[in-house]
Amino acid sequence: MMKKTDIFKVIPYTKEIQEKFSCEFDCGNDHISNFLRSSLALNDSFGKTYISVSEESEKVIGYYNISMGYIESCYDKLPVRLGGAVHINYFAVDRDWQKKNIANKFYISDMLLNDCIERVMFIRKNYVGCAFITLASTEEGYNLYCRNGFEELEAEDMTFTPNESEKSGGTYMYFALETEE
Amino acid sequence: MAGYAFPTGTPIRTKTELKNKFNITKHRKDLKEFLEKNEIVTYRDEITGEYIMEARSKNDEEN
Repeated sequence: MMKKTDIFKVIPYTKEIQEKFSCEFDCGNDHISNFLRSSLALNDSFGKTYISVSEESEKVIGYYNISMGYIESCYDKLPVRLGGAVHINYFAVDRDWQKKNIANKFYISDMLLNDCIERVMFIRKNYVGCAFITLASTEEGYNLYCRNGFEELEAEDMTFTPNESEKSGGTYMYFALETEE
Repeated sequence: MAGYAFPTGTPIRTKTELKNKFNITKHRKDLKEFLEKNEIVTYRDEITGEYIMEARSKNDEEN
């Protein structure tokens, strides 16, 4: 018998998807899981959410939420903007999918992050120029971002403005979009 | 006023310097090559209930 499968894809998050799929999402972090069920996840003034759903198993695989940002430095005691950025406010993969991989090398989180980077490259090429992707990484996410080319912000001379939930911690990281060209 | 600056802490750098500092990681290069040739499919195993992720060659689909 032929297996019923879904092709992995990432689509814009909608009210319909939220009502149908978000209730069981659990990435292991209550704050990040609950964001997907909140009205903020659909609020374009906060950020834009993109999601991967396995419709066959009626299960959210993962999601990310992005908004505009920037990195700035300090030069002669004045803030200087080093470049525009797309900031990843939230990024998460459901527990049931977190360990899934191909060849013990490529994880679902790599696929989701790749979609995010490709989307930002498309925006950069066609709509709004920017130089970086920024985020505040949890301890659990740190290796994912490192292996995909993110670097830690040199805190003493570069910074970005964290959102409310990121003020309490996390490792501030950035990805230089020039590397994708 | 408009300018162009780089993420090194020094406001003015050449593009070559930036490229040298920020090479694409091997992992990311491998992933991009892998996704050019394959697509990812997901499903739930009906017997075990386990969620599965697999790669499917794009060439197979064309054939």
